Amino acid sequence: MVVKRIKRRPLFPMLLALLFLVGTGLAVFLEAGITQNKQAVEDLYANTEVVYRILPGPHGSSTLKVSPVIDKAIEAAPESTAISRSMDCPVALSGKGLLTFSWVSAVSGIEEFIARHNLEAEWGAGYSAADFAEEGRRICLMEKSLAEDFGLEPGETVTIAGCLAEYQLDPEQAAYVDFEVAGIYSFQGTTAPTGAVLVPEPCFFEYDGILYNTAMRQQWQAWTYYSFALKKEYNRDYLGFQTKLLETMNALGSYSLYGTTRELENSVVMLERRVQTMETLQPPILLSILLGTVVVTIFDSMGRKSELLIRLVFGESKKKVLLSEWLILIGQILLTAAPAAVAMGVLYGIKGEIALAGQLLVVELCLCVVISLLVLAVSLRGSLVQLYQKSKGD
Amino acid sequence: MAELILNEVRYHYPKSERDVLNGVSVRFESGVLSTIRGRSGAGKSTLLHLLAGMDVPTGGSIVWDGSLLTKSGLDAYRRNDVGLIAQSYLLFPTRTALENVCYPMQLAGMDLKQAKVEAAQLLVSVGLGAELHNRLPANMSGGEQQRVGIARCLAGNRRLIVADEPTGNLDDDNAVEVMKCLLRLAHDYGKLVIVVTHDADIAEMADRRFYLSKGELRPEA
Repeated sequence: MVVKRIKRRPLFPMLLALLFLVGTGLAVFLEAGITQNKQAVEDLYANTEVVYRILPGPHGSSTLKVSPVIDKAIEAAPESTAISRSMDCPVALSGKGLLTFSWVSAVSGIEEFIARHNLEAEWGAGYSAADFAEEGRRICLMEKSLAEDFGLEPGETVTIAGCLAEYQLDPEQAAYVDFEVAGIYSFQGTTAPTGAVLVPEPCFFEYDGILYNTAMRQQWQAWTYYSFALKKEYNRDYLGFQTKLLETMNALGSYSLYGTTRELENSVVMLERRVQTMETLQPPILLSILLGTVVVTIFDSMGRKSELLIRLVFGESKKKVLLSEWLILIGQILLTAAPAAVAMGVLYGIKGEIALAGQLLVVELCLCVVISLLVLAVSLRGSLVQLYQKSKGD
Repeated sequence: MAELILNEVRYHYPKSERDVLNGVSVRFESGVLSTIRGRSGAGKSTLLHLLAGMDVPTGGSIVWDGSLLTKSGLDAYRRNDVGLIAQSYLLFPTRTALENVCYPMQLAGMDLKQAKVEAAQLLVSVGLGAELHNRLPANMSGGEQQRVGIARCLAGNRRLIVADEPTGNLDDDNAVEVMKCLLRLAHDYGKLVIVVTHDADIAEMADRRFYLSKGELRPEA
């Protein structure tokens, strides 16, 4: 009888099934979206490395070094990793009869530098990162393609001469410093260092180092970067950390602070906006689905008025009519919900989000059951004469 | 031979002091089709409600086949004895013509298979061929639907048929056919048929005619 009713009066069951399906689908979609985006925010905060650089004043200014106060403040801050320095300078490179212009970076801690720039370093036999920290060692890490151009292998020598400006070598003034190639590096991603050749920091400043005179030092020491990273567990409070740091820096002089927070901020803001939109939309959408279910159930139940009347006219008791019509309605509702539940399972699988969809489906079903009972009860509330007169439109 | 006797029947609605029916006394017999006419507000509908067992009078008595109709006995009266034919047909919209006619028989506990055989015979007897038996009411004309309603009244051996404006929604030809059908119920099947109508031409076809005015029922000349 239930199946016959559905087949012969399919509009309401179809609408109900659609609401069940759309309701559960939206619930799954929204809940999954909210969960995924929240997780993505968590992941961003947990995995993103925020890297900062401090430049000692604008180019050409008299401020050539970062104040030790800042240095110490950063070292002491629980939020930051150890500070490291790197300095860039244009150079002329020669070896094996070739000459080319490039950039050299002098770094204070090679391992931290390699990690910061996501480099892959292949140290030659007998060389290691520890050699960079050894006093007086003149070794270098050379970028892979540059090394290939020169045909240089670890253990061979490259001569480096500092330039006052890019491509401007003063052959008579320049100090030609020989460096052993200790290894080759290649880089991945977008954080390539400026220098194609990496040398220990002291090699810039020694008496016969690359920055061989005062003019050179004044020119290029301003291009020293003091870099450090924010510990990942403090990523959420990067703004607070920056503010604190800027207060210290501004009190001491003219410095510039650069951080890779924009990428993090943009991603987080976008994801948080998405979460907010979904969280804002979720209640009214789910409410509309429930309201739709109520409206459809009311119409479906009210559509049975004539049947109730016929059954009463033929002498069936109100109690029996109410109960049997309600049971038929429940059967119809359950049969309608079954495909929605199956489709929900097939479409979304057994995931965490399905719990909410299941809850929504149960709420929808309960609403249908309660509303249909209420409507039927209200329909049967009056006397038979009143019901009959209403059916005639009197 | 069944008879329906109304003795000084009075009726007033709750919250109303005025009697809609003012001492109606009449005797209806089986095998006879009677019509009750009257103007709007004369009390036709009220009288029909009482005859169809939807309510009991507030004064006087109704005796059906020797038994006094009481409020507690109305359900059984409607279930076993009276069949109502309504202007709006009152058919189950989601049941076919055959299933609609089967309904009273199933209600009486008859086996569905047997009920279907009898229902098919009843439908044929009111002029509805087998091709219409499995149609839903929405796919039938008004005349056809009313005949399904008549066939349903015959099911379960009801002896009293009360028709409320049975031709109200039909064209003249169909109205005459339906009246002929009702006359056959009275004459061929021995049913007690009471038709409430406002249509004088339709009333002309009846065996007995009554006119209800100001709550009083009088034979119509």
